[in-house]
Amino acid sequence: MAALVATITALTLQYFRTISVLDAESRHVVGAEINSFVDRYAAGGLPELLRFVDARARHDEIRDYVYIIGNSQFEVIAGDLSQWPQDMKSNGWSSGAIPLENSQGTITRNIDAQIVRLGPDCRLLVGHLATGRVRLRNRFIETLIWSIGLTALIGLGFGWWISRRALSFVERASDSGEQFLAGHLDVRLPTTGRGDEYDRLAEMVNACFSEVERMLVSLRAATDGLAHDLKTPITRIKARIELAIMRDSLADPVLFMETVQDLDALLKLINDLLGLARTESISVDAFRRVDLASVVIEAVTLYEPVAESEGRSLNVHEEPAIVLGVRPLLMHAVVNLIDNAIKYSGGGSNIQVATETRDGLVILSVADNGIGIAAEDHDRALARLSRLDQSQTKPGSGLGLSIVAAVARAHGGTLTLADNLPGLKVILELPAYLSENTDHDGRSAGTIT
Amino acid sequence: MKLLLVEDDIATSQYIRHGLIELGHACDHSATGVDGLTAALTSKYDAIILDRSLPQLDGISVLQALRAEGRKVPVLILSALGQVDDRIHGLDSGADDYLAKPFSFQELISRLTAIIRRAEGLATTPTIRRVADLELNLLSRTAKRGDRELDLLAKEFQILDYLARHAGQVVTRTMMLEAVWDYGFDTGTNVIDVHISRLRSKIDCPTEPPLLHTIRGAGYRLDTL
Repeated sequence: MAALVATITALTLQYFRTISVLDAESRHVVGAEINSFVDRYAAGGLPELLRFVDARARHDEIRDYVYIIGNSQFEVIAGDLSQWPQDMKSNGWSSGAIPLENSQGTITRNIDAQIVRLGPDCRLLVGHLATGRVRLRNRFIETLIWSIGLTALIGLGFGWWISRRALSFVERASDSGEQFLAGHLDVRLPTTGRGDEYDRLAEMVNACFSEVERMLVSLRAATDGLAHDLKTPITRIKARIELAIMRDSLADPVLFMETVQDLDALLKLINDLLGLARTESISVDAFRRVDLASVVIEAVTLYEPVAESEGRSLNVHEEPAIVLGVRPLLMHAVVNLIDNAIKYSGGGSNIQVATETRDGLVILSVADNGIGIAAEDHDRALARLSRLDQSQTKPGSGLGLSIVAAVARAHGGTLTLADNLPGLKVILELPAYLSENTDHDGRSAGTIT
Repeated sequence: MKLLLVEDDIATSQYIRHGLIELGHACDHSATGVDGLTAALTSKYDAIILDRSLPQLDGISVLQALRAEGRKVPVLILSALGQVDDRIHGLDSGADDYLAKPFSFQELISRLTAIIRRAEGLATTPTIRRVADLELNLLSRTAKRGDRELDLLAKEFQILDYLARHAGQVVTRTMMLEAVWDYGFDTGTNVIDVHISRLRSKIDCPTEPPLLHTIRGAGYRLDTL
């Protein structure tokens, strides 16, 4: 549409400019002719003028200029026409229509003429035929029609091409979505590599698909492991009670104590799973300023006696480490890491807990010099409900590390396992809270003790 | 204790009521939020056990209405919603304590006693706390038994103080974790037990009568005599 308007405007402007140039030119020529006529008249009066006009009129070819000499009553004395044009009787410039004779007969043409009074009884008309102008006008209209037509065609073609691109993208996206929902989790939208908005959108949609796929895969794995972990203690309880019924020993207090223990284990598992789900969906509105170093000290004082009774030493090297987060969750993560180190490190006797702030990151590490975890088992260790020790001899829900990972993610950080050579080093990295001013809600940040 | 139980589940309410009555306490019961609020406003109770999910008016709303009326009666919330943020929400709404279901009866009793005690003891903040022949100096954070100075770590003093504040009552491991470490999650391993045995070795000499007792399946208790 815009192109169309632009084309029309440009052509019209050009037309009018050309017309004015042509007009100026013809007027100039007419003016020059008139001057030469004036000179002749001044030199030799009317006779001289007539001779001049005659000489010119003898040429039969079609001329662009018309000359008429007349008297004060506008009767033609000499020139190209037998009659003075009706509507061109005043001095100066005027336009009008005149009959012209050519090989085909008489035709009417427009002229642009200047009329001067040469003498008391002598009038001169010199006119310019606007044939050029007419030609130009016709050409202009022709060009205009062609341009409009062409522009419209191109415009429509282009529009159709663009909308096809958009429609086909939308169609493909809808198809992919349907397939994905139907269960083909590996479906992705193709990208053209052009880097345009459609590619960006496609990449975004693909990222969403990938995230959903990751969660579903993780969920499937989790529910399988979960079913097993839930059923094992329930099976034990059932078996124990059924056996007691068979043996008629239902009054045995050991039966109840062990059942309570199994129920506690079940409860812990359920709570841990719920906690995990909640952590992953926590809102930043719940975040406050938390000193991770003080959290670590609390956790270490809690576990120090247990560590000692297990023959391990628990050491802390803390530097200030301020983050924005939920204190109970962060403490839960630290406690899990320390608990794991005490339970699973085996072998070595030293557990080192450290906090530091570096390059805008708060780094918490729990390192032991025990048996460690082989590099190829790192991913499995972080997966839910996995326990590298298959026999499940040690108490725990198997969710410890996944809870820490979830807490890390919820706080915008990462959890990594590294080889401590020997032993395992677990590293939790969180964005440091650097501002000492009000938090993003406008409330002044308070320290949670 | 004169208690009010606001709970809509029949089995749970019978279990709680009978348990409380057997221990010698009086326990009224309301099955809906509206009834519970009416009872709480018209009668005087030592403490209220309030379930969160109730018909007509939910527990939190009952609690907020009660507090809005200026009633300071100790309230313990009982709820299947037991995550950290649920607990925080309950406490922020005006509850004195929060217990997740399923719960041990002992835990319920311990916490009820604790919140009632706390409400009574709010007027005075002593500098010296005496339990049996133990003397705790709350300013210097030191303790002695009789004439013997006790060499306690900071956390050990805090644990002893908590036990002393609830002397004669059973204090559960969870209660101690929450009070001394502000930690609400299950630790799995026996962290508190080890702390207690260390403390016991410092408080209870072989020649003295033992003050710090382990109540099997429940928690710990510091004797008053």
